[in-house]
Amino acid sequence: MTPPPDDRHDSSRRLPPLPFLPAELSAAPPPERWDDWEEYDPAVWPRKRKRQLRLVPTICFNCESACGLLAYVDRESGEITKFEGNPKHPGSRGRVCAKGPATLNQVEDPQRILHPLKRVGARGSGQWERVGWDHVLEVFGERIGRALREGRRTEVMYHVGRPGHDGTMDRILKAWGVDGHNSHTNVCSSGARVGYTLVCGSDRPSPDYANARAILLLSAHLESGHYFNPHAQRIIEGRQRGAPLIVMDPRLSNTAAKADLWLPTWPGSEATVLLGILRLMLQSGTWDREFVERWTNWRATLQRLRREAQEGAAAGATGRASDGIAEESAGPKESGDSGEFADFEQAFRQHLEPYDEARVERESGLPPERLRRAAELLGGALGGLASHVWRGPATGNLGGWQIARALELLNVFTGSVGTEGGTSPHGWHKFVPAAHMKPPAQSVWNELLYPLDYPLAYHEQSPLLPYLVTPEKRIDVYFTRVFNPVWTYPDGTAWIEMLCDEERVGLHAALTPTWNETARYADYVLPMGLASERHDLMSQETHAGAWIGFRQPVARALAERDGHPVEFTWQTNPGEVWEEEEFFFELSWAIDPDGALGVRRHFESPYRPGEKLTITEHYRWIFENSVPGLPEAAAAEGLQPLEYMRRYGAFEVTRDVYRRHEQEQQGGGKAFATPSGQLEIYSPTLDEWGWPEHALPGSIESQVARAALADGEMVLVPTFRLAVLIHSRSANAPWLTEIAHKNPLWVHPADARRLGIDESDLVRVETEIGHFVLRPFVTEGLLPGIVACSHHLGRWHRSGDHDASGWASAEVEITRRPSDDPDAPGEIWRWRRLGEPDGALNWWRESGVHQNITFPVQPDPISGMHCWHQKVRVRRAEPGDRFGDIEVHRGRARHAYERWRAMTRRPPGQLRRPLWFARAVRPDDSAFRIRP
Amino acid sequence: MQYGFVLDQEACIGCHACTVGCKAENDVPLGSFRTWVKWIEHGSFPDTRRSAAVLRCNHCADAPCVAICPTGALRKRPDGIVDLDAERCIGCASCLQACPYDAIYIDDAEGTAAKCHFCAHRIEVGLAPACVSVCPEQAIKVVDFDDPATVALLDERGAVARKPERGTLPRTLYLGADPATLDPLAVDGTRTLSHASVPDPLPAPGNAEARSVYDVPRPRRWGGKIAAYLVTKAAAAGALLLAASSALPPLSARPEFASLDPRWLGLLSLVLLAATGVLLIADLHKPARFFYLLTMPNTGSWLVRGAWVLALHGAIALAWTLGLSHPVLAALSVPSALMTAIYTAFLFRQARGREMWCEDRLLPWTLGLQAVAAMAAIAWCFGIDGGWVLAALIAYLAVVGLDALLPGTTRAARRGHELMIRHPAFAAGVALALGALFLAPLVFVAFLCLDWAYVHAGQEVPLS
Repeated sequence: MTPPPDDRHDSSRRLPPLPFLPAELSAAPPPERWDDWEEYDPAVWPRKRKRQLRLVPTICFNCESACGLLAYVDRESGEITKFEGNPKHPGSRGRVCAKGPATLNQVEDPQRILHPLKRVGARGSGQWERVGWDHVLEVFGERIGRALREGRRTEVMYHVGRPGHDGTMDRILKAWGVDGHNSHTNVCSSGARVGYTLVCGSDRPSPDYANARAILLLSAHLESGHYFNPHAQRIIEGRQRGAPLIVMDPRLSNTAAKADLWLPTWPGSEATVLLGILRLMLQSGTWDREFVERWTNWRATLQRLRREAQEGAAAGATGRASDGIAEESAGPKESGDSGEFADFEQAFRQHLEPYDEARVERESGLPPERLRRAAELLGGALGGLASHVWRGPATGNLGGWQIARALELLNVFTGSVGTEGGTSPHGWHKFVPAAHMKPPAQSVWNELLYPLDYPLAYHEQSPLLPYLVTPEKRIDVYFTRVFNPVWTYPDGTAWIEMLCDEERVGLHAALTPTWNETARYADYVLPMGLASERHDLMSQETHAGAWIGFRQPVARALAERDGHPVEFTWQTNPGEVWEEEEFFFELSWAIDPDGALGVRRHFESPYRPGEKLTITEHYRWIFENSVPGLPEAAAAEGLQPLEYMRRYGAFEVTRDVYRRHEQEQQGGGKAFATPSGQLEIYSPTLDEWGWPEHALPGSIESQVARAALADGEMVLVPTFRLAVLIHSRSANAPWLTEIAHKNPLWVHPADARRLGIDESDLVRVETEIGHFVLRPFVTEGLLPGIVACSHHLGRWHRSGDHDASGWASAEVEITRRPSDDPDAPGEIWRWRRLGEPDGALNWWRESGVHQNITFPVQPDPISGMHCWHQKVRVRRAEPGDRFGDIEVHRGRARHAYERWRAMTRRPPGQLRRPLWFARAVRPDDSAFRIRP
Repeated sequence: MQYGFVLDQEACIGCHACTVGCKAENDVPLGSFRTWVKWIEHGSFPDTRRSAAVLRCNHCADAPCVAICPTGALRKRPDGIVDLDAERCIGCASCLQACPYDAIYIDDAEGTAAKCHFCAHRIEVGLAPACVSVCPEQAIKVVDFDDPATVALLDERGAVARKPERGTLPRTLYLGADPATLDPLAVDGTRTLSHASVPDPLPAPGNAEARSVYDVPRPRRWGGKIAAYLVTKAAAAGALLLAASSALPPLSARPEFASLDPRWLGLLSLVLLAATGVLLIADLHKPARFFYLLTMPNTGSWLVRGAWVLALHGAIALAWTLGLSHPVLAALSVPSALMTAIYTAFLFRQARGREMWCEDRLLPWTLGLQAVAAMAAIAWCFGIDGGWVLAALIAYLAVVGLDALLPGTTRAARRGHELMIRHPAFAAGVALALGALFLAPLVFVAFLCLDWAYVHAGQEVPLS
């Protein structure tokens, strides 16, 4: 019999661990032999044929974890034979996930784009001709230069999917003087970022899982998450040291399957559940009073609670909580701080009173005993709660940001902020070195990125771009970079329409290592390098420590090591594949050849005044001047800093990361980056920016809350990811695709019975704007009433797209017809499948079904986050339906956009956005002013 | 040093890094796996449980693949690693039948077997296997089973093996594994998987307690050619028995036997034997290497011994064909023919992965009586009829019936047995065998049906 999940704590975990390897074996070749490594060729084993290899460290370019890789380069052929982990990398520690070794598939992908391509014929027609890089630089240099000369500084836009670097584009775009950085963040993580920022002033948490006393996850960090491999290592480490693992997820993710306590909660109810946990902890007294008293804005919170109570009382409001506070504040008070703090405790407890077990159960479906167990486990982990929400519920729901806020409050009330085993602001665990290039901030504000309707949107309002770009407010030069909105974003047909319209988008270059659905609509497809083909500097908050990792073009690094200077990375890469940074350096000179625009000067060598900066000099300067301890570490080995980084690929900057807030305060600075410098339970910012009803912690009814569903409606959770795939970029890796190539609809057996379907049936999932047809996967692994469908799968191409990956992409035909709905005029788009993936070597003949394109945009009015979860109707497919059919009504999509936009509130004052909020490629303060 | 793996399923997150790390290191073809992750699910919401296990070669101390391998391509190294030399491999796929763990596959591009070899090529330069190096959780550990402290610790921590009852002494042990992940019969593998296809799924056991969530494809390697070989072989044995009966008392005393021309029967046996050989060689994935059976034999393998048996049979049949009729030849013919018929039972007994076959104690009788029934049917064709023909056919039918009635001795054997009886070819075979009581040559078609059901069902029981 399976024991109940909360008792699944296995005592064997605490027995002495087995040694990992016998003494005579090591996990990786010793670094001193990396340049001259010999091993036997497995192809002819057991015959012992030696092969000579050179091992060059670099950084994985699949997810954003920035794990260290070692490229094994055959000395004779110069070919990369494999990728393994780099043991010198502090984040990944020599270990990588499946996507690390699969990089070889991507490098060797026979369908790779190897040369710059220029469109022939109409945009979107899918025909290309090969061009040279000189031509590309000339065309784009001239066009951007003209925009700058004409003062059109909001018409040049760089739109990034996977960044893969820190600070690079900030510098380049600022040097151009444009406000043109767009990102994918508002379909990704803005919800959580706002919640975290409001409490601690930092938009991401960095949990110290390895040393935690309890781990609480609202995202699936044992299979995906932002830093999957480094985090998964440390979550298991913490668990093996005895920390209970609690996972909140409506679906039994593989992470939840590993949990000691699974909290299957209705999508959107998570903030209620977390506040319910906090309420129980306050009730039982298991919280860190001292920490809260010392580090939070409890005084301001108390005042706000009292004000609310008084306003409530004055307005004749009834209700337990407000009455209690009003009485309390009117009554006699103990003198001094401790009395005040007791008042705060009492008032805040009353504020949380509505989050009782009955409400939690009603909204989330969670049995009270699991709620109490969670509160008990967290109460037993004071000072050591490592918790995390990154995407998950914070990206799914209207008001998802409140979930991250509530979670961060659990860190605060358990006294776990900044502690060993706790959760720190991410900046304490990340190090971004400065470059020689220090262009000033731009003084323009681009409303295509940050429209006035969304003053608190944490990042660019990119999901709405197709609705914001018009022939009047156009984009003249648009770079999409490792970015596939046509497929990944909601409302992809709006993107196709925008990208096809040359009035709205003047010139579009897709910078990408591989073909994708969006690249089809570009004017130029510019092939950019993979993990072993580019320079980047990265640092991520993977654990309690800070490091930098250096991605490098392997062939170039070896050529230079051997004394053969290389002018451009594309000369040593496969075909003419380039890298963005060097491309942008060159492009910057092409934009401003005579220096008149003031762009060029930022791209001049710090070592050879007036001459063009090389990428080698750029990194040499950073490593020599901006990384504390690196020059010394290099000198200790008789190396220059750049040589050190080329040799080892990573450097640990510090391990002294705990209790930074105490150090900051002692140094006279702000303990936390909030306006008050304190951890903010009450958010004055929300009061000031027109959202007083959310200024105190609470929950917001999600668009998919139980109460918001009509009869027969279900919730589709479309966001979950699989451990072996990475968005739409792993389709070119057959080793990964053979493990994951389908995305059936997860349905609970009770729902399957109700709907009269089984796994052999086709089902139709109807969203607000269309539908898609696929097969069900009937499982006990999710809450009844919800359905789930995994991300990544359902790629498609048309017969002309010969570079589309046959491993994972189905051939489709797209047709359009006018709408028959008078209330929603506009075209109806239909996808019909013509063929399944038919690579000559793949044994699977099935692929997934694209779902995102049937979702409307649903931007949260506060965080700007696209709220992914969908209200759907699921039913047996109709007679004419075929597997993979997709239909989208453009008119209904526009209606949905307008409905969600109506929820927004414009800034009440003269500023576009709180000055204390971070902003990507932040303009100077003057640009924050709303100009009439 | 006796190398082995410990798979710590408490630490494992089922992320497939080992699978892909292995593919990259060893250039494993798509669709084949030297190590893979199996995910299953059981229980009901909200107490649902999903569990993973990493499955692969067990580097058994008593490795059945090594015992059955006819050419010594598989061998146990002194350090405990079960290694494979593809240069010696003839692609007979018998190792796939011998391995109880699904650890071996045929590389279709090469036509040879392949499996986890513990990255012996890395071990010899001091590196851990690729799957061990890549694992984010250090959940795959290399241990020395010669080290008493390690063995004691494994014992204390309750390490378990897959199918310990098969007696192979696995050197891949599991910590904290969900028992259902290690028990192939506990899982219904026919259902839709959560993110992959199931080409040609194995039929579901009726009482599965768990469902499959992720698994890998498993082609069945022995099919029609092996069933046909059993038939031609039985017929060749029957012809030889009939040739002998013309010269061997008591049958030779009867005029209808005495009038048979053993030269023609010898030739018939020879032709059938040649067909047997052609089928066997055609079934090899590396047919051009068939002679390795003789030039680099593993004398313990019943594939090699079978080749000898068939060779002897061939020599005797040739002697008959050449007219060398002699009582000694006749006396030799009977055991030779019976060995031809029966040796496959010993081969199937070496196929320790296929419990339905290797636990089948009746198989020598079935095969022997098959040869006798074949003899009767051939005799019938030569116009010999009578009670004994009927008796031979009935005896064969009886043993088939008995086999159908007797359940297997292990769960997997019973499962195979169940599948065999449910196989349409089995019913057809029984019907044809009954028909043979009236039209004796029908028995050969019956053999084909029954042998097909037998060979097929044996491989329909999941091993992993």
